[in-house]
Amino acid sequence: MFKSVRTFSSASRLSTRSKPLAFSNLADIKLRAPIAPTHKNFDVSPDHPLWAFFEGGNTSKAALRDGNDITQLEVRPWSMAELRRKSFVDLHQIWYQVLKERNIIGTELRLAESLEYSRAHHHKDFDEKLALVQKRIKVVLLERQTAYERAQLLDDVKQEYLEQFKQRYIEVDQANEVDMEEKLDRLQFAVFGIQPDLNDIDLEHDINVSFIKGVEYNAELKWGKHLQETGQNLAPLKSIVEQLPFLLKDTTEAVEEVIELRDSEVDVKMDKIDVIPFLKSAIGNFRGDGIEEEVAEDI
Amino acid sequence: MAYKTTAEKRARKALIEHLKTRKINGARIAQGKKTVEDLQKLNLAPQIFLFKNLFSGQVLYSQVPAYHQDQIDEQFVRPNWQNRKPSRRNDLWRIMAVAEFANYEYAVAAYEGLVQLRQARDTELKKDAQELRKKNEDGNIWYSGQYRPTYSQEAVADLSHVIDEFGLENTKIMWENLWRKGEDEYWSEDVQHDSLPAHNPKHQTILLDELRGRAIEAFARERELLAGEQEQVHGDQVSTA
Repeated sequence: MFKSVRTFSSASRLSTRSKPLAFSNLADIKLRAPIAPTHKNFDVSPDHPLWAFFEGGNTSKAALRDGNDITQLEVRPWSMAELRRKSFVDLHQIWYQVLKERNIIGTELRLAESLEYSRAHHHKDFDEKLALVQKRIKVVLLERQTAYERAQLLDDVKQEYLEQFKQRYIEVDQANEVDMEEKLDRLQFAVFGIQPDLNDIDLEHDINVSFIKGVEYNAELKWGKHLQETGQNLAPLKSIVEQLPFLLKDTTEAVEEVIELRDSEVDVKMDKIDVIPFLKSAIGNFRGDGIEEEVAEDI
Repeated sequence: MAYKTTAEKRARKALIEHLKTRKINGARIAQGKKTVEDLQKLNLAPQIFLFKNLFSGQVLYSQVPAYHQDQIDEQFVRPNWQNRKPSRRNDLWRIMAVAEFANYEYAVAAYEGLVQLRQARDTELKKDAQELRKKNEDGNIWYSGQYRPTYSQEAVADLSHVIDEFGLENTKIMWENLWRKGEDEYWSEDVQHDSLPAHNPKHQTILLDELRGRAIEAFARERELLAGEQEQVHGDQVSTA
């Protein structure tokens, strides 16, 4: 049936055709010129990431800047002194700005090479300046890393400084107390990595051996100062359970809590392996993380 | 020199003959020219497949979604250093366009026309063709490495030539990339252009087979519609009589 339908319809259609379905004389044919592809047949998104490889992005008119335009830019590389003053985030931004610019120059240089463009040396000079900035950023970062690693080795110096600071903290007069508290916050962060604001502490990553040492040091300082001020003669703090309140609360509240603990004669000894989980749960509870979770579960 | 007995020599000759018969020259379905009946019997659609050669830029026409050495021999009749006979290697031929025609007669005629034009460009009209090509400084066909873009552009020109010359209405061309179509002025308004579905080149054969299946379905649907119309007209005629 299919075949009969086909022959019927095509025969009727073909009979109405005016043009033959074959070339009559090949020698007389006029060949058509090759049809070159054209970009007009498709649209390029203005957000296309490859636009970043052209000066001026999606509004750029030419793929290759004139060499003289480059010399007119009158740029100089960032100096070492300037880069040393920049933060890591700033350096990161500068690096990527320079990288983008180098990509543009690289595209232009490649094009200039194929076009045998004579003023491409201006582009190369510019690129060298940019490359110099990248090298300097690397050197600055290396300096910082070296300084940091060296500082890790200066244990004696650090201990000595901590002792001195402890003395100064305990003996400070009332006028400089606020100043000293701020200094302590900065020291805690610099030496032990403890964030000044409790809410900034990352319970998963920040709590480690150094953190524990920081809690201990902080408590010793404040306990020592309290004893100095009141003239009491109390035993030194025994474990992390007694030390932690000094990080979380005011000194007076913390001291009250410690005395309460001692009066209740609860065993505050803790194995080393339990310290980090204890800190995590205690700080979390104090901040209210746990409560929020419970509420969420109830809902 | 090792001595070989007659029996050994004969065995060796037989082996060589046997190996020759085993040589694979391409997809067997693509062997030989297909008539309208052949295409229908093989469940093929009224299509022409244009494969481009990644190495040289040459284009191979085929009536089926595959190709055979015989087609290469037929379509590259006078090879020279600028227009070498391309290899049949499967990894070199990628689909450039698929042309769908209104019926089988058109598809067969278009294929014949394209092959004739290709042969004419290589033989009788060689000079005319050469004049139209872009040249390099030495006066040879422009090339980069072994790649000559003019061959694929000529294939596009020939396709539009055939469609216009034979008046093949309701033709649809699906391009691998629409930029190959060139300016609109070269195409009659009747021709529809579309791009091929996005696909992994690894799955080219699957894509082409699916296109063939779809075209057959579309063709059958059209026939049914036409048959309905014809019956209606016939019925009207009978009733008026």
